[in-house]
Amino acid sequence: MNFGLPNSRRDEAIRRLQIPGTLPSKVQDMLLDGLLLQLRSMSVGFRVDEWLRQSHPELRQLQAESVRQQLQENAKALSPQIRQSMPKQVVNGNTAMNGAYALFWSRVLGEAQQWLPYKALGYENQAGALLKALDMVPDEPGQDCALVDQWALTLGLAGTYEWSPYHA
Amino acid sequence: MPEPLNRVEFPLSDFDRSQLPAEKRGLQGEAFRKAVQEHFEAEYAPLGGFVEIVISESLVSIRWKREGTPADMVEEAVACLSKGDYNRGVAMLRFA
Repeated sequence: MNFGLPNSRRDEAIRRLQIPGTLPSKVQDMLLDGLLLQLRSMSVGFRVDEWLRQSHPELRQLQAESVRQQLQENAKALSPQIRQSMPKQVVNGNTAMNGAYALFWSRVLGEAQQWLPYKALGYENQAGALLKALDMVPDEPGQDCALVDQWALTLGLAGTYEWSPYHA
Repeated sequence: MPEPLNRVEFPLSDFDRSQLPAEKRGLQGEAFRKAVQEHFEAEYAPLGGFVEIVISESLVSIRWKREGTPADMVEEAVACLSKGDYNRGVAMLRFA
């Protein structure tokens, strides 16, 4: 994934996310790049988490502890200090992805408490759609880009990035 | 290792009113806060463990543990009261 979009497309992405033009350009970039980084890493991260869970059941306890810590970290982004100071579209994208994470792990861990705040904030449909994409897109490394694209469609982020060939 | 207390806070204004029964979605002020409180109590109660839900003028604050004893909550409530945080302390005692 290439975050180094041409300026015209980058400006368009920033407009679509309603990132205020009055913010310093470095802050605008940080918000856009941060959201896209989460899009890329969290969607594919589900694959890694699931592989680890299935392949190494002896590590499940450790994984569960790590996930609970991550869930608490993610929950901090729901605070008024974050939600009321960040652009709404950025907040919504971030919360929908964190909501998908909470929904998935609340089922695995049997801890619905982890998910209820996201449900209360109205992210049930989006979080559900993100998880559905995990089922629809084949679980193969060659399909990772398709998975990210499907998440981007769900979150209204399609066209805010472009793929570039990977050269090892 | 003992289970840490889980905490989450978010703006009351962001609460999705469609979660409430239709006749309560238009409520304002204290009546709305009460409806939100009841909503969360109904959501968390069947899950067991311990939960503290505080709805203030502008904030939803939830703290919960999967497991625990009333003594845990009483201890925390006393700590809140001794720090002068009476609203939270009293709310926790209600749930303990």
